[in-house]
Amino acid sequence: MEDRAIIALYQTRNEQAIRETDAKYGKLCYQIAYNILSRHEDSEECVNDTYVGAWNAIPPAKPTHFRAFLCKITRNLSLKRLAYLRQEKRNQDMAVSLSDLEAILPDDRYAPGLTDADVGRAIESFLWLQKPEVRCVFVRRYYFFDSVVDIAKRYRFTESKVKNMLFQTRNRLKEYLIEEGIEV
Amino acid sequence: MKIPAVAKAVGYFHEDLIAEALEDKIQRKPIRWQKWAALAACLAILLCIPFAHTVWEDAKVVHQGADYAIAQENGEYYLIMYKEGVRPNYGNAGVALVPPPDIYFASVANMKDFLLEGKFTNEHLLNISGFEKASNGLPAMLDLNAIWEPKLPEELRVGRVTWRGVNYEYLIGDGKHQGKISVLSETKYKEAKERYTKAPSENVVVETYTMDGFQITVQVEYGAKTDIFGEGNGSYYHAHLERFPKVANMEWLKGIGLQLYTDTAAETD
Repeated sequence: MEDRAIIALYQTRNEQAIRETDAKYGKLCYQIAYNILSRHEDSEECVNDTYVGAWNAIPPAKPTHFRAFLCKITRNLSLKRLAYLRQEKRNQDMAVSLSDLEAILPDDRYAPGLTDADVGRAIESFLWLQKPEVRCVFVRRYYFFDSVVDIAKRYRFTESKVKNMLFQTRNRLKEYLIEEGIEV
Repeated sequence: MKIPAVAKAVGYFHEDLIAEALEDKIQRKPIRWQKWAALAACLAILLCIPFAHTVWEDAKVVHQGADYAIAQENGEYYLIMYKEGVRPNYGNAGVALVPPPDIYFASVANMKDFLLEGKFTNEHLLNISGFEKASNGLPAMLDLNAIWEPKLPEELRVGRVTWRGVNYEYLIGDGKHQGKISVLSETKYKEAKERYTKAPSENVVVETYTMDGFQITVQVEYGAKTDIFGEGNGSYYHAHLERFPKVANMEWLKGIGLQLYTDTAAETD
């Protein structure tokens, strides 16, 4: 079913919307959740919560990129769950590595008064200045938390090329954020 | 261990960026012949500069979308939409033109919201208006008779309809052609004034409507062979929408590179 038709089901409060979403994007959402949580039960739960999130958001939301819209919800929910699990020390064996990302901009280096949204927009502006492959690799790694191996397979790059691209991009991004006054 | 804030910040990425990374293939740089084609297109644009009402020299991109950009020049904001893979150079040497000042059945209210939020894309235009893409990648002509109920009148008409919960304003020339709402630039309006100095004749129809408190003047010319406003299957039409004082100063109009002319008296001469 076309995304537009699925969105129309949400708008008319038709529960078929959730079934159609699951059929079309269930695997994608699960993969994102699993990349972050690396636990089947938690990932499944996040995917189900994603559908609830979409149900509550549409309407009034009218997502232009429905797939990206769902990914966003799944990612946010999965990160929240990850934070909870780590706080509770329920799972010390998380697959996702956030250290690279944290090294770009440590929490204590945020310029005063900046919100996460401000920082997100600054990073996005930086990415739009990069080549498409650089941008995609970065987003795959730090938005979807794909492994280097998976990214290399996806784009038919060597693993070392992906690692090198990420390394160079992180360095350039760090400089950019300092220049823009985002990092102090 | 808590989640670093920057990981949450990344979660604020615009959906355009995420959508790009969801595609299986990366959109590569254009190959050599495409570069030459792009160069030729740039030269063509340069040649058109004397006729364009906006010349971009030191424009600064304030928002970069996947298939559009919002640029700022001299305090004015402009929307530039372009085809995939062809990004104009907005640097000091860059020159770009504002796209044709036509709004194809777009919902004005929605367009404004998207522009102000910096989220306006070609896809929005297509989705909002219900247009499918034509083979050239641009919004296709819409067969109104196939969509609108009740059936639209054959004569010239301006009005408003609601379709799928969204209000659309339309101008239609006749039953054979798509409705097109054109908001003329000031330059084009002046040209029109020079061209249409007489009262409506059998070839030129001027009609004025009031809709929701907005005065809308429509000029339609039939049967001309050349027209500064473009040609469409033997009929020619263009319209000027005046919306005073509510719309003329709206920021979103600047956002799409349009200027409303402000001489209300002259329009209905």
